[in-house]
Amino acid sequence: MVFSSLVFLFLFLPLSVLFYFIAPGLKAKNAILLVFSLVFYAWGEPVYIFLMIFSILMNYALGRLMEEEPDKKKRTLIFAVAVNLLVLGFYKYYGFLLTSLNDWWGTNFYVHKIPLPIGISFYTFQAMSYIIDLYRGKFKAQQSLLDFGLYISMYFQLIAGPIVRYQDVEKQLKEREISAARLGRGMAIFLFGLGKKVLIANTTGELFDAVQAMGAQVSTATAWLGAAAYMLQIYFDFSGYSDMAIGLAYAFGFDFPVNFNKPYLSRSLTEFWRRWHISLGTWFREYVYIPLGGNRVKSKKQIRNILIVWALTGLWHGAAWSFMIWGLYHGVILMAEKYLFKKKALPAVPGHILTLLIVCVGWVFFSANSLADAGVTLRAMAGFARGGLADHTALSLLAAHGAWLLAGILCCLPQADRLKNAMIERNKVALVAATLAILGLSIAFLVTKNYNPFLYFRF
Amino acid sequence: MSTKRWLIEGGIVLCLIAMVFLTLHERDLRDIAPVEIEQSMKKQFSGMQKASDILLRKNFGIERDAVEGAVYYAASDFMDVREILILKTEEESVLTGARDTILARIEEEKEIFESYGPEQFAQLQNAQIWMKAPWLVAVICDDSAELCAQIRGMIER
Repeated sequence: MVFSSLVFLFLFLPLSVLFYFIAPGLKAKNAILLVFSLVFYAWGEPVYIFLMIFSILMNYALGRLMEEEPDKKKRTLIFAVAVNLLVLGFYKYYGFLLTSLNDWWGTNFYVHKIPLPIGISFYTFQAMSYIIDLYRGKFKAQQSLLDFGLYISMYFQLIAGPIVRYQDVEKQLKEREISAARLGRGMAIFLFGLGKKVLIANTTGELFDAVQAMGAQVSTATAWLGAAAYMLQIYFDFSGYSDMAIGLAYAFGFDFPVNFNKPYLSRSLTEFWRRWHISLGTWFREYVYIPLGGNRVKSKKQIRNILIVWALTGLWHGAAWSFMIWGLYHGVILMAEKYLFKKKALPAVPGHILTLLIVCVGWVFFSANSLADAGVTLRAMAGFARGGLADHTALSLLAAHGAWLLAGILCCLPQADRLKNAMIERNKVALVAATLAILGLSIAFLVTKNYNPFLYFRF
Repeated sequence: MSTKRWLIEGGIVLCLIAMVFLTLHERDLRDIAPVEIEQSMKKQFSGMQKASDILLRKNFGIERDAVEGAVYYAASDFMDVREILILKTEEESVLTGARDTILARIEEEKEIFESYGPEQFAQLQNAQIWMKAPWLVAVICDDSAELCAQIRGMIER
């Protein structure tokens, strides 16, 4: 189930709010949320609910064991991290690994098609952060299986993050403010996120798909138009879903960390990664980069650490070489910014334009079905397109989708956020009008259009 | 090693082995297109008409070009409830959307035919819907279970 579906909007969400608010006491409310979260997860892939329950039970038991046998803490940590990585590795990378072996070594392993369990990357990372921080003594092991199960499976962030660390919600699992005011504000945040997803990501996504369907026949102008459309689609798709998750969490009394902070306003790639998928960046910094030595080691090792982190970041997004190349591409440019330019910021406008170009080229690897496809698109963008420099297709696509592209660009600006926050904080009438309009339009789009993919589902 | 640790770690390892075994031995899906299934099962679809792209869009909101493949047969008479949909797409939301749509229509039609259309009601009652990404198969006819099993047999390894 996805948030931007009619079943969720008209059945699942109202029922979960209703049962949650009539349940007496926090324990009952947590139990209701856990049940709804498991149903939410089981909706699309009922079999994998057992995998999630296994993850909950395993990490809960190992967490308690770590506390009960402090002299064997390290052993428990290694065992828990190894099992989590094995599960993630098997379900996400098994096919990729065997296919690569077959391609490289000429082996003939039969590759079973294993469907990717939804959200496995997100909930496994959450579970590992719990185990690692418990080892570091940041908190005590969760004694309640119910609360721990809720932390891992909470349906708001289950399938697309943000990756919430246990320390961020530990207290809220036991004590949190639940009120009509929070519900109202949370729903407003949710609806703005829904609008981002349905009105902008889906419409710009249609443009991108139209360009991609042309394959190698695109002109340079059309290729750039498609790249721009994808830039907007992926941002609004993912940040819209994150906003929906944050809004729902807020409505139910939880405060989730911000996951996107206007990334396309960045003036360098370093700044971009401080603003894009913040919870993933924080995770890799805390649990991979710093344990490897971080910035405290010599330059050579730092370079090695950066490359490891970015190769893993790429692979986290998908089991394909194009994702790894995308990660390493970002890693190399970040290293160049760090060592060659010594973090000297370019003036605002050139810095901004250059960052957008770097990110846009990166998305070509990210969106391509293969490295060969990425090569075709990059060649076209560089001016070596089979369809020439410009054609009528680019103009007709722009005419058909230009309004939504423009809306997307405007919504990337800080003024859009300021307007939204002003409505949420001060102007309730405008807020109600805006959210109702977004809801109405989104429903109209969902009912009349069948195009409603969700890019981060596959991660 | 304490008994508790032995039990927990041993249990986890056993569960892991079981999960891997069950996952790899679950029946795999063949790389087949819906149109290939249609070609080899045309006889069973007789009595129904191949539905146009417009009807596919109208009934399920599905654009034929946007999915990997879709075969849709429906009866032309509005008193006839028979339908067969074989849909293949990687888009989970399209699959679940189509499944929800057909489930809702079955319920609606059951209400309509409950009092005066025993044959149609029985067909709706025995409708078969099977979904396993990237496939959705929906069959409403006299021998839905058998037909659905045949289609599944072509899809599953």
